[in-house]
Amino acid sequence: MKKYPLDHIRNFSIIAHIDHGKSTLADRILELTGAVEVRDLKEQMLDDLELERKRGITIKLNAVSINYHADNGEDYLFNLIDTPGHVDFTYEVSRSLAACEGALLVVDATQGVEAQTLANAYLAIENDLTILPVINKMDLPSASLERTQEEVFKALSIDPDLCLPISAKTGLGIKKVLEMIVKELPSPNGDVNKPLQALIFDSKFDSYRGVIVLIRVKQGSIKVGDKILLMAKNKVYQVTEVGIRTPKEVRVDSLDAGEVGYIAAQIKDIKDIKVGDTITLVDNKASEALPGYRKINPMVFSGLYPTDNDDFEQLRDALEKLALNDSSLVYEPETSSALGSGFRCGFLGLLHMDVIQERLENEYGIDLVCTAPSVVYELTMTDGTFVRLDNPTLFPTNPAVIKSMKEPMVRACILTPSEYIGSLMQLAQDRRGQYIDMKYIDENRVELIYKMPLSEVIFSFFDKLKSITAGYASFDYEIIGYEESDLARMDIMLNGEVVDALTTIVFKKTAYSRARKIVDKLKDEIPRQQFQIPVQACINNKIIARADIKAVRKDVLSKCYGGDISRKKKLLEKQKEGKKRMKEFGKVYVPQQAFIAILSIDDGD
Amino acid sequence: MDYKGLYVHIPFCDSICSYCAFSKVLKNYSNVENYLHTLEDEIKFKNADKYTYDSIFIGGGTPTCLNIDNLEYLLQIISTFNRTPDCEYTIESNPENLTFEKCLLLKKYGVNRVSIGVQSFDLEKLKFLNRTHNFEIVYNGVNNVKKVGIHNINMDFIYGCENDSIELLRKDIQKAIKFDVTHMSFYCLEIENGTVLYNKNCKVDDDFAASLYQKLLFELQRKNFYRYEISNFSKENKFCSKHNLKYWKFTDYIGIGLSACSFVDHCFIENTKNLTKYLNKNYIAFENKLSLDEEKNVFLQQNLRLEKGFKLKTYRERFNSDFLEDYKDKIDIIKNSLVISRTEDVYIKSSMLYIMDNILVDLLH
Repeated sequence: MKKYPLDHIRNFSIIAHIDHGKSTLADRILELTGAVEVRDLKEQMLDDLELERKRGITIKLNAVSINYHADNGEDYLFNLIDTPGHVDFTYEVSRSLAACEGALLVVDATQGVEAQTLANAYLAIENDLTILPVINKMDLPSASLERTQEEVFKALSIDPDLCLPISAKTGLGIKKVLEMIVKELPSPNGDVNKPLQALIFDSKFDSYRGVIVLIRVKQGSIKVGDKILLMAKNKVYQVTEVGIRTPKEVRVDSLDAGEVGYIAAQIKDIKDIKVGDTITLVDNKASEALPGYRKINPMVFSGLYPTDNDDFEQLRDALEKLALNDSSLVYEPETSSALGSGFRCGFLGLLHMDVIQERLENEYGIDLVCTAPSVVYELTMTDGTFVRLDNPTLFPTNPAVIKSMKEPMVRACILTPSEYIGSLMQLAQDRRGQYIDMKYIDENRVELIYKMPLSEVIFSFFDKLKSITAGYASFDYEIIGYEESDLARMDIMLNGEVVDALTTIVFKKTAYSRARKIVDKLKDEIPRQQFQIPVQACINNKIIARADIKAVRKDVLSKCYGGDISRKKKLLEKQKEGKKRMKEFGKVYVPQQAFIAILSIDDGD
Repeated sequence: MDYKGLYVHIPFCDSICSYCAFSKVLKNYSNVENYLHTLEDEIKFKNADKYTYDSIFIGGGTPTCLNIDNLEYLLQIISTFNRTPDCEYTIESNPENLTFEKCLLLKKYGVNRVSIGVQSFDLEKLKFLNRTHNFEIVYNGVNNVKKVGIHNINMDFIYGCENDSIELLRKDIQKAIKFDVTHMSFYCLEIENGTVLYNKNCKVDDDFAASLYQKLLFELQRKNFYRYEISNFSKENKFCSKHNLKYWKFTDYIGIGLSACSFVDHCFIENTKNLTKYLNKNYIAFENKLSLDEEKNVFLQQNLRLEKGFKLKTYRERFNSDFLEDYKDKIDIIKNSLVISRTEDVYIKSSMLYIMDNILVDLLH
């Protein structure tokens, strides 16, 4: 691999709202620069995980170095750093942006500017990046260049003439984008002779080489054999491999100021590698770390239990493996009297939670029962102790011991066509939202800003928002701190016994209506059994809602179907299989859907 | 020597009932003859004529919708089989087909039991079920059956339709009793994929069906019809359907014809449901030799449909092992639903027979 002078290097990211075509654009760039032979090109090359391809989203970011032979006859090195497109991963996005000088901002010409377009663009601006906007999907009949340019101008004050019309799908305008990258995006700078400062922006685990760390060298140089120091973690390792991804890994002698690549150093524990940390040399230490390292706390917690208790060890192994490549996933064993042994897992947000659950089920084949997600509450007790509570069952049963309660709040940004403002305001209010601001992006698109409790956002808020607006609104949020709140622990009893896995923490004022909906929903989701089963919700030992699951009265095939025994046999086997997938509480069988169903309870209905 | 049961399927009908999910086609004469010849071939193919039968059941479809020549041809085919002197010989029928001429023919070939698809005497309900007969037609049909000297008569009824009520069912029962039938079957309407009612998105409410059923039990008992199987009621023990008992006791039976099922030598065989395939002599769709454990499960699945269940001894002799041992852990789970009497009968508690699948799920391996 030849060395490029700094002014022939371009480090950039592609940022966009979900589905606006970020990964497709990356694919086209790889294809056009010849980094990937067309025959090797899978759809969405940079999305490694099967799940990423399936969902059309990028979960883990990725980086690739490519050679571009420009129209001026010279070769340039493009370091393309992919970013996750979702709010849960904002911190990771901001770190990968810190590794770049420029960003391609992809905006869908049929959708216009969306919530994450803004969120990501603001991040890029905060990181002093040069933004190169591209208007994608121009091949679609409903594409509107003019309207989209105007939205970009109004929202971000970017000159409409700078917005390149492209179609990542057909390849339209991509060549022009590459030339613009050369002309418009700044090259990196940094002194190769200064002490090493390299920013960690991603990592992944490889069972042979240990953790592979993706870095951007800001100053100095790193090579094989160097003793390195992880500045925030204060750990020392010796570099065993240095290279770049093209996207195949290619070893190089060194990575110098301005360059992007990977290192390996026999690092066994991925927890040592924190995104945002700075790598320097033990023998020639940088005086200070790069700005950026921030400990990210998981905000959403849920109990994950194997449907079959025998799978507990398998679940532990699977979580261990997932955590190897995902330092933000935290888990601790916990026991529920209802569900047996499982893990309390912490996630960055809802999507992160979904992704992990889905990977456990699909890639590791473990049937899971997941409890309702909960946020982290802060309680101060009357005796002065302070508790961060990530598990509803740990909420004191006696409220008298609690002095004050706080819950996490978010700043929610909703972008919507203006005709839905009324119903969205109603939705936000139902979810205890406080109005902060409203801005028109153009005559028919509006940005609404609300302050809301995170706990209200994690319960089907997104689905509701989409259904109210026929899918047109987009949504993003950031956590802005904790506020006092009036909360209570709500237990659910089946046949007189508390099912701890169904315990939730609720806002007192809306507790009654939520309780009503939960018991009704459970009544519908739990199959009828041989006896009547009361479903009760209670707060402080007081029953506030009840519904009864009636006893089953008919469960038989009335006809005998000649001598066809196999029909009934299959039916019984299916019934048996279904029952196996249920959890038994006392004598009551509860299907997994019941746990999921209470997640979709909606206070607005 | 073990006697076996014979089932012969005739898939033809003059009209299609809205609820029917059995293998059936509208009658077409060239097809009928072709079909009967294929039946003969299948009998040879399966060596079905090497056994002696103590029950024969011609079902469908509507076997009696065949014209007189075809019907005689069919009866001739069957007459070549060895039968015990007390062989129960049943044919399924629609009331409108029971002409005196056809009845005479049935009698001539030894048919001694006629099962009539009455379903109801209520005209509105019959219309919903897409049945074209009425009381008078049933009356004439039954008369003809009796005139030729066949007195063992079953009537099939359906309950659970939208406008059903126990009053309506009670009237049906009263009328059936006036005909002095020996046996009645009450089947709950089941909306199955591929039926007219399914396509009309009809639903049967389980609670409603269960209430009707409970009242039915009471009504029939009052009229001295006793339940021996979930949906089957007979006047005296001797009128229990010998043929259907083969299914419920899960002893050997041979099925020939479209979609017919056989169980013989521990092997379960299902014929194709595709008429073209059948006529091309591709008879068998599925064949499965049951493992010992599977057979035990199916034995229970079938036997426990019966009011009297089964005898521990029967199980022991058949499987060379003890039911109480084989299902030890399971029996404990369902001890409130299963009775094991001092006389060594094993049966589901009468009041719980209608939720027996719920119990079987816990019992079966």
